[in-house]
Amino acid sequence: MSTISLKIELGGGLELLFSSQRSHRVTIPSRVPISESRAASGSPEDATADGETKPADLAYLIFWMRDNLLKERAELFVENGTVRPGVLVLVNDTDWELEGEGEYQLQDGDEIAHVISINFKENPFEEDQVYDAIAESNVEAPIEQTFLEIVGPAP
Amino acid sequence: MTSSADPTSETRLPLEDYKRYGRQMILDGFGQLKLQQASVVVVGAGGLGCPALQYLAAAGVGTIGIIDHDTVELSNLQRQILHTEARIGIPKALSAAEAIKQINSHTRVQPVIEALTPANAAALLAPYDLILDCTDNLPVRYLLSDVAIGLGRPLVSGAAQQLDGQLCTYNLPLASGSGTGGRGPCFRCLFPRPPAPDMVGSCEELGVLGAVTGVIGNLQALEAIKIITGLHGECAYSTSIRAQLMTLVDGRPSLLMYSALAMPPFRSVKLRARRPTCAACGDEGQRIGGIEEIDYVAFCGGQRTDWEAKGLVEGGGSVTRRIRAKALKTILESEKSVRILDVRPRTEFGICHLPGSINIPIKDLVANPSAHLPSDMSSVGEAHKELDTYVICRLGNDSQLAVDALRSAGVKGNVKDLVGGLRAWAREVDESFPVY
Repeated sequence: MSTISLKIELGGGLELLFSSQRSHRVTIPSRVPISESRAASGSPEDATADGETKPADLAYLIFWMRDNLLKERAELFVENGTVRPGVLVLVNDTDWELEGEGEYQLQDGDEIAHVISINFKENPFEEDQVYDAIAESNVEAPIEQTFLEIVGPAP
Repeated sequence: MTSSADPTSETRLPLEDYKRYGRQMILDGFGQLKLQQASVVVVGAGGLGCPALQYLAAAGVGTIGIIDHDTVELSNLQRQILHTEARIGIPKALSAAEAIKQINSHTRVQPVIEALTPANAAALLAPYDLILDCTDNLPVRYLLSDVAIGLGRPLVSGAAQQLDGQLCTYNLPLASGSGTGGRGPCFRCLFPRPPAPDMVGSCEELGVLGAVTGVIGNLQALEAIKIITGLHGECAYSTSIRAQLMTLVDGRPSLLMYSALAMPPFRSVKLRARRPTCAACGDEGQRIGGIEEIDYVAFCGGQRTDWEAKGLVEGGGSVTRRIRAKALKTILESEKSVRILDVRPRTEFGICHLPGSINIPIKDLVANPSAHLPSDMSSVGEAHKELDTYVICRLGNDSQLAVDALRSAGVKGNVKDLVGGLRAWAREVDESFPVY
């Protein structure tokens, strides 16, 4: 099973969802299943099961990161099958839109950056943000329940 | 209003200006006369606007507009370097205007003490050749971008938070024939819609270092000077600045990211082209959506919350969950032993805290509330289960979350939180307690 190595950079607060680590070196399979749900599982065995594979691309990497690197609150990273609005994706310091967005085929040694623009600066545990979410859903739910939905249950 | 509209005005500089600006005039390709004829409007006279205004005025930009509706506060002076202790309480636009007149008495300064709105933006910005976005407010960023497109002006946009900054020029004139319609992308091309509001911060909550806003504000001034004087690349001696702004030749859309602690601290990113389908700057017939009737505040997720006011709301249903500062003081002065839980971040706890209080940051507390129940807090064990717990934070919002977390984890004894947090404590009980 051949693989490719990538450097992943996170910035603008997004690193807080990824163990507060700004730089990650990862190895992913060079060919991946075509269907997105399969891709999300990240298992190369699935790929060989039905033989339908494609070269690993940025769309795959986003789901791979969600399943293998992300530590909390996936909804702050992925939305509607792509990165959340406000996040810029950069391929070797170039806006991913110039490289074909999700269809960009990853090359060994690529540096992929995911940066929240400062205009949308995020800190998942800033008091206002958690509180805001509570205020929004306060109408139906008792506060304890809402709170746990937001921060997740105690381990 | 702008001298650039009148090409018959001064064609040479006053004699003393050769001495004043000589050090920059001898730079290759530098057009001092263009600076003098140019008009620039700076929206926001804060952390970014102050350094930008300072350098624009010193460099000899002829006409400078300053739009800001806010007044100077003590907490601004750490980064908003044109304002002074003596000018606390006066409008920032006037304070900044006075400061730059002291630097350069020849500058025509036009302060505007108004908030920028969809109703007034086009009229307020139209007289100027170039717009600087020095705001920290997302709805105004979208508004400025849209109006800059409508007026055909470049928009030099800056942002800074904590130790990071960004610089980008939207609607940048490009060489015609580059297949981009002659313009770089706008803010909407990059961010067609904002994320849900829980990702949006403001510098009061996150903090920012003045030297960082200074770096970005200076870069905005530099970018403006590059565009006006032609250092950005253009035919050197065009007569009208606005005509020149349509014919730059080698501008390339890019985003500069600055991170004070990173190595290297600067990183330049190549940006996408203008989107033909963009709601604001897209091509006729291809545009998707429109911006005519847009409610910018609603588009960006609604009004910002006043967290100080919210922390003071005692709550309707269960009044017994909260305690006011004076009542807490009475309890602390009694012989009764209680537990005071301060849920602010460690850095803030280090700045100031109540004597005897314990620091458990909200993030740690909510991650595992059951680990912080009273019985786990002390080796004395059972006896401490009876202790009343008072939870405090800065403004009285996080402390409510903490009480909820402790209750949901099954805390038994009396658990309350301080209405209005330590800010209310300083106001109502102990005036010597630091407010930050």
